Amino acid sequence: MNPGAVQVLERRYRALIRLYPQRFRDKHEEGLVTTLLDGAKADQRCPAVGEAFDLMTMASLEHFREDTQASGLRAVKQGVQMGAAMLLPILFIFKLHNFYKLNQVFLPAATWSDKWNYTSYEILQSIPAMLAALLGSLALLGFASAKVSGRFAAGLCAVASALTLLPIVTASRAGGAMWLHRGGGAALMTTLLCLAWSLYQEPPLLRKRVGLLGLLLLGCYSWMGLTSLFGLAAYFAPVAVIGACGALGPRACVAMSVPLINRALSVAWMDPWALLMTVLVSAFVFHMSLLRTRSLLRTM
Amino acid sequence: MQDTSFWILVSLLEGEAHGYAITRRTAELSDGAFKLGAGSLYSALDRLSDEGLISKGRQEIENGRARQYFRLLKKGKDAISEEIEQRANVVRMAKGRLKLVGGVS
Repeated sequence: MNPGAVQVLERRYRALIRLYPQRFRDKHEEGLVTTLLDGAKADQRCPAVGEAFDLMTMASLEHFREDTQASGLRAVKQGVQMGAAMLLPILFIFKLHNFYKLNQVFLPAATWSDKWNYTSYEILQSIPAMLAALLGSLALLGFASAKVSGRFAAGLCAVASALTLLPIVTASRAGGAMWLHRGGGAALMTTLLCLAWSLYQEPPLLRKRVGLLGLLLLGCYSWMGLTSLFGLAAYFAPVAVIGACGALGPRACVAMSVPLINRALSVAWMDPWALLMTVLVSAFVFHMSLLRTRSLLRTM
Repeated sequence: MQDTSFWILVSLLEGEAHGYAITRRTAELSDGAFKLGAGSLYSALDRLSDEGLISKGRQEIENGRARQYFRLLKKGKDAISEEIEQRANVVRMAKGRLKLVGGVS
């Protein structure tokens, strides 16, 4: 077998194997590569379609198995991360939909003047928000499919969140109290996220307690359905964000801050917090039921 | 027991083997009817080790590549004996049914 071809093939196999969870790779990567290369045809340079499919399916099943084996908070955390990863693309689609709808204001004359004010700076504000949602989605999907490391995904999410600060510039140019509402809220949330990041480094017990309290408040806040960050719910929001960061880890929360900061521009027909909570709670319930089924099967 | 686990355990009855050898043995033993992909193989090996049915054996380095051998443990041998017995029972039952309706068995 041509050594050059073997090297290329090995590199491609390893790229596929990177889809597996780290624990599995530590244990089996070398054996798996050797087995794959043993079975390769002479001068084969690419993994066969069947092989690639087998590796990809098994890699995702291994992630799944790892999740169901994880206990307690870790399982919940993974569930929530999965939930967040699923949610962001949905939000992105809705944002795109909003953007598209805004273009249609040029068609009906009756409401034209009414909506002109709205588009002048709101449309500018939705561009960074859309970019942020897209970047955040890509980062989280990459992380969920093990294509990128957690640190890289968190970095990309942070960039995505920072992007949403751009409305400060655009809104302050537009004048009025809007910039305080949007820009101020964004700045506050970003500061809180930085605080939460440092809280994440604290001992686990504190993190768990604060995290659970935060999740509770987050739930109250989301179902209250209040519109302003500086309204009555303002007292809940910071605690909720810090708490959520403690419980879920920075990755999920930086990602969550994308819909939070752009709350007013998010899904029009459904409160994004309610949507977020639905996904998070579903992911939680799903994971808990998996853990339960597993322990039941073990005792049988 | 899943077919993958069944064939892996059966092939390890002959003695310890590395990944590729297991896929070869499985293909031979099943007359090519059961093909085992490397991904499925290692997932199953991982699961079977966790369950304590097999364990990692010796490791050989050939042409700079690590070849990890796997061997059957006592618990694995018991599990496969039981599985073979169960499958034999199923076959026996099915043959009985076939005779009942006048088929050839």
